[in-house]
Amino acid sequence: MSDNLLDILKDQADISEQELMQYLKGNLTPEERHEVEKRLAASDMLADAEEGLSQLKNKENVHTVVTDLNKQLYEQLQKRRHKSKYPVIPNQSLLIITTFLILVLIVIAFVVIYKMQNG
Amino acid sequence: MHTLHSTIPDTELLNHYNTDGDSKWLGILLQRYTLLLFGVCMKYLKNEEEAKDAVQQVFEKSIKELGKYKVDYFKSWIYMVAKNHCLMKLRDKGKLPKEITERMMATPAEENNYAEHIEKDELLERLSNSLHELIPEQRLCIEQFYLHKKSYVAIADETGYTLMQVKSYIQNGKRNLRMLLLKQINHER
Repeated sequence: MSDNLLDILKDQADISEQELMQYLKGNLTPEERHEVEKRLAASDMLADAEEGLSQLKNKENVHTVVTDLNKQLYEQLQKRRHKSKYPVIPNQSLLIITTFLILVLIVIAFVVIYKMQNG
Repeated sequence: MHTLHSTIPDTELLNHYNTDGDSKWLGILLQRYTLLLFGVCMKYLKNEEEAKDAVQQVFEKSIKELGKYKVDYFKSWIYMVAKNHCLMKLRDKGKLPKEITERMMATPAEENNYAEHIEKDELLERLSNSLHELIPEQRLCIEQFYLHKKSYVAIADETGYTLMQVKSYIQNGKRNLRMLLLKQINHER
């Protein structure tokens, strides 16, 4: 029995974007197709991705889609960097007013208790 | 940026991110999977615009989650995040019954290192014996694909099955073979 059968047990595989796109466009020889398909069969993620991408009507457009998504990702990450660089400061005036009111209440309570105790 | 760091493994990029918190590492890592994530989302959502939105949301979720806990197998993790996201979307639209979503959203089974338990020759023998336990369609497609190195299209042409059937027979046959093997190993323990 051929050692090739052991490939059934493989559950990890990688493929380059270029190889996958060449496969989807049908630009590979039968041997190359089989090699790519062996890797697709070894990874659920690759198999799902291939199935999804093969549904696209305009496969030439994929590169633009990926570039746009990467650009948006870059912007998301830039926003995150900006946020961590300038953390949100709580409203300071609200904090000051609250502290002041608590202090006033403490003083009033102290005066009331003092007067009650000393008649 | 992408080309410069293309040789750095995923785990190393994650380690860099966990050490210095610089989101540039996340950018390099996530960009590696943009095309695959778009493909996965297309498979489930079947709409280009929705798939693009889904990829963006998966990126957003990953950026939020990755700093919180350790991820050992990034590829499997991001795949599950994307798949679950799409299935939830389908469920919200009423296109998928709840029980199916939950079953499909289950975490993938742990990888099995069969080689740890059995010698290569014995493994081959067991695999070839188990082949006979598969249904004829699965056995035929598995043999043509793995033993005769035929492509999906060539198998479809020879057998008269559709391309989707060939893929499905191979995937399901493969899964069944692994289950049969695992059952044997567990039985012997």
